[in-house]
Amino acid sequence: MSDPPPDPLAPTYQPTRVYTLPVLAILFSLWVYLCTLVMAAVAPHYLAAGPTREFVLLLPLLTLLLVVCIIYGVYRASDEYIRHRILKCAAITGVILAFSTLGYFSLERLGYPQLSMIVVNLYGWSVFTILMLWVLYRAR
Amino acid sequence: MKNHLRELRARHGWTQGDLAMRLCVSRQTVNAVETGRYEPSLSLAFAIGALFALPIENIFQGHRQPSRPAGAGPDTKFK
Repeated sequence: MSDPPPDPLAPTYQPTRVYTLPVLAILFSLWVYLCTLVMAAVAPHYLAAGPTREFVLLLPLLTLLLVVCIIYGVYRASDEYIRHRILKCAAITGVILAFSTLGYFSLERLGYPQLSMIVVNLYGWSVFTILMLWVLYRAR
Repeated sequence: MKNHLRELRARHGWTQGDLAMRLCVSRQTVNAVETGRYEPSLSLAFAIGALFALPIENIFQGHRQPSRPAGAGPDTKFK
């Protein structure tokens, strides 16, 4: 059966494709973020006080902004169902973080070691990235 | 919401990937709409209707009925 003739009044729907490049961009930006985070963690031990050390300490903010921009770009480039799934990933991440931090708060009271806030940050991004990359992988 | 997307697609001999390509969405989106896991936006519903040259009410049938009769005035519940 041949295709129906094209309708000149048909609504235009924005083309949506999730390619390998955005996925690689997310992974690369996260890698850069982790590198700057490590640099910021060790900077106080190796760099003398001054503007350079302060810049290195604040560098993770810039790279985190890069991660957020790339994820937002992938979100904008996705179709409505994938967007819906990505938002669901963010919600699931929030729920997992809420339960995990509450659970660990109780464990800390029992003598477990106190963890830095950056652990929560890394844990949250890891969960969100894994969930999001799974959605993008399934959307190929 | 029920829909006849799978039947229409089969009638044209298209795979989910073919339909996804024509609608410029991912194959997963077509699958989710076909199986009723996702209700498409008006924009996508109109795009599907235009592609099959059918009005959207012939493709999608909703179960939801208006809770109040038409012309009953604005809902004052949240005033």
